Amino acid sequence: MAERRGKTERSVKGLEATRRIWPATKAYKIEMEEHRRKGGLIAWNGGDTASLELLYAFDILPQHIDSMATNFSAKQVSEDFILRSEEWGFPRDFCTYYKTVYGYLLSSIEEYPQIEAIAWPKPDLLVGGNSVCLTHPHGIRSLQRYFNIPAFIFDTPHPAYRMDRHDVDDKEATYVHDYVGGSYQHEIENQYIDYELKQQKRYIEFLEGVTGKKLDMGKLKECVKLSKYTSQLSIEIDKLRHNVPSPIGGADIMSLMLVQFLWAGSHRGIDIYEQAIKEAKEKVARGEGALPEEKYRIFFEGLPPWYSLGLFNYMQNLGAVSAIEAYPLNWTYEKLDPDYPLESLARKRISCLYTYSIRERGDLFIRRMKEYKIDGIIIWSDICCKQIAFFAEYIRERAEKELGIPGVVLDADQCDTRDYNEGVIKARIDAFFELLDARKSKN
Amino acid sequence: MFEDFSVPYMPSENQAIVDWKDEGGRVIGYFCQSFPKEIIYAAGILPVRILGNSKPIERGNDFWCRFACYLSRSAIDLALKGELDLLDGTVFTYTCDTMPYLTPRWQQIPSQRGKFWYYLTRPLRSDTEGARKLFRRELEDLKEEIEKHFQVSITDASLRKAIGSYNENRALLREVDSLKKMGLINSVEAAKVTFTSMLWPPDKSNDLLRSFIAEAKQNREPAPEKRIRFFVSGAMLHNTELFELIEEEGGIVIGDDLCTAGRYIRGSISQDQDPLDAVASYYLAEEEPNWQCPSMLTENRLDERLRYIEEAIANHDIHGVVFTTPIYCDMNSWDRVWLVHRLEEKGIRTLILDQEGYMKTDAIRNRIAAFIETIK
Repeated sequence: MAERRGKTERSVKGLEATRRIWPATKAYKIEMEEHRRKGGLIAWNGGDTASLELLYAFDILPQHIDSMATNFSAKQVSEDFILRSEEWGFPRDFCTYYKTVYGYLLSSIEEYPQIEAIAWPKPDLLVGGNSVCLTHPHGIRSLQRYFNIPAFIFDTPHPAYRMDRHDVDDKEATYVHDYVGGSYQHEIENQYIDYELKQQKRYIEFLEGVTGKKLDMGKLKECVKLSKYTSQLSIEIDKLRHNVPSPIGGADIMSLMLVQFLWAGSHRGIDIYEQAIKEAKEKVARGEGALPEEKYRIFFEGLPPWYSLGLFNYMQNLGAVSAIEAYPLNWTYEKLDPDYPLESLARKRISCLYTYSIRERGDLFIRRMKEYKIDGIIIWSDICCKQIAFFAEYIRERAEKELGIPGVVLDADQCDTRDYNEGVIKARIDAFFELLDARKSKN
Repeated sequence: MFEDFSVPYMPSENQAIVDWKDEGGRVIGYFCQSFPKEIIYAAGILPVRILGNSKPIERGNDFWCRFACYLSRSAIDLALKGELDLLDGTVFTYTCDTMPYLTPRWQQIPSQRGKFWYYLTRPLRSDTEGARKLFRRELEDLKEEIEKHFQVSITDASLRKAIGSYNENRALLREVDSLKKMGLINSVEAAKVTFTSMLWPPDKSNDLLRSFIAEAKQNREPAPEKRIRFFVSGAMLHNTELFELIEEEGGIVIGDDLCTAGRYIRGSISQDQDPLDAVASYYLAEEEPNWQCPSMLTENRLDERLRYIEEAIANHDIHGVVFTTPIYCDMNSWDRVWLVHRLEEKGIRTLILDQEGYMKTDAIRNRIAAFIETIK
């Protein structure tokens, strides 16, 4: 393995609630191991946004590919794991979430005592889908071959462009979305819901086969209710960031999102969200923000370089708070109806932020930038992630043209440190804030 | 005779396409083998495959994302430079995470703005209940949009006729492939004929193919030389550069699973059922999962792709497999990682060539030459 580079700076969390995420992550790993000792099952999930609720309903504990990779990256081991994957055959330009996780599987964990607390148990089953991207379901298929264990993969329709076309005919149409997260104001046509529901039926049969238990519909309704509540809390957190100064910054949000990302459908993390809301409200009441002095409000788009979350500190020291981000919204879905759990989950899967057409996604963030009084956009154009990289230039152009909000696109991979040059990144951030200063003084 | 197929792949330079336009015909560009071109042709419109080319990209990297595959960057570059001005529209389909983003970006290219566009969503599993029904519905919408935009009517009869033309085209191209396997023509010739067929009206292509096949059967002798025989696995090629390079170094491409060769010429669309249903069935490759696009999630697709490669190796005395995967193409990379492991476990020699534009570089030539040496 290559010589490991020095640790990058850790991010400083502003809320006490956020500081509970890491201990809760470690506790979840211990819970998973205990669960397995008692005969319980563990599922790894890749790219499917609505499997968690059903997994929890079957007492299966999930772990997310992205979550594992980001944790390994934050622990500064992703570079080693990526190299191990490339030795095994993965190309340099390939998704580093999967290369990190494959590297974890191909490595001797004893070499990495720093990840003992997050050395996740291996899966008994795999679940995936194309809600987020196409790399994920193929990754799950690949892991199925690697482990030789059961897997279920959703083929979720992506009807957004067709729906856009229909709207184009109506020149008066407006594209208003939910306050946050994903659902279309225009109806999702029935054929897509039907297709998804048929698969969900098969998914339930699959889980019944794997666990040897029948679905307890009452329990599923309870899981959907908890998931809805988690989304509602997430929205409340988001709304509090309307305040100037914003009581919560991006470093907190990137950690807090784990709750809806991994534990939606269970009780886990709900108290952390409730505490975050309480703390943020208190800050708002005191007129305090996440920073001592909030000079710039930033839309932080893309996957951050998880190995260098200290960059948030750097920006914060310059007076910049990340007031909105896109990635965490992907896991928020408030329209779940516990009385109709199956249809709700089908809709959640189709309504994922990354199944939006690029125009709809653009419309959503143009509106949010106005609402949150954004001064500028910092966009991480992730080299290996198409969903992020392709949106970068599009939203930068639209924000400049429609709102006069400038943006800077920074190239950095989410887990691969090899091409990362923190000096250059910081210099570009400095120059960007100088531009913001110049714009502000001009106005 | 073969010279008839040595034509430029750039639509603006391709005489058959220019003639079609000059005669008042309309042209729609399509990106992937997975797009059902028969529906376009049934509207009396010429479907032309957008292949990109291997010339240096001048403007595409700025306008588009430089982490995108070469095909998308090259196509954007060509469109920005006016090389695709003669298109009356462009259609895209859900074959990767690039196409959904390329679709709106394409509409921002000055020469393409306001022209017809369509993004065809489609199921990614042929083994999921209702997949064909859903896809048929999508095809019906596509048909209606073409009819509405171009003020034409696509009838069952016109669709059946278009299916017949392309079925014949595929059958003739498979016959050309057989001539290659018999040693009557080389792999560069077979590839050129196939590329040309992606650009020409199928009926014109069929006429020339029939003459070419007859001439080759009558006048050519099997090549006496013993070449190293390759299977080429991957996505698409922009042109025949890789095949030329392999032949120049003493090899020949006997089998492949490329979107611009084997996958393009496979099978036939049934003419015994509802035509849209038949088109849906063909493009989902329900009966032949080995030919499904690497973006497909069907349970046994990759096992079947491996089986197909292994059978080709066994049946055609193939010495090695060359993988040519476009950089930034995750779909093909997933397949490649697994296929290489399985083939090498069975003692089959493999060579991986990352693909990024121009292929006839000294670096690639040396690797092919070295690979051939190890086989000899």
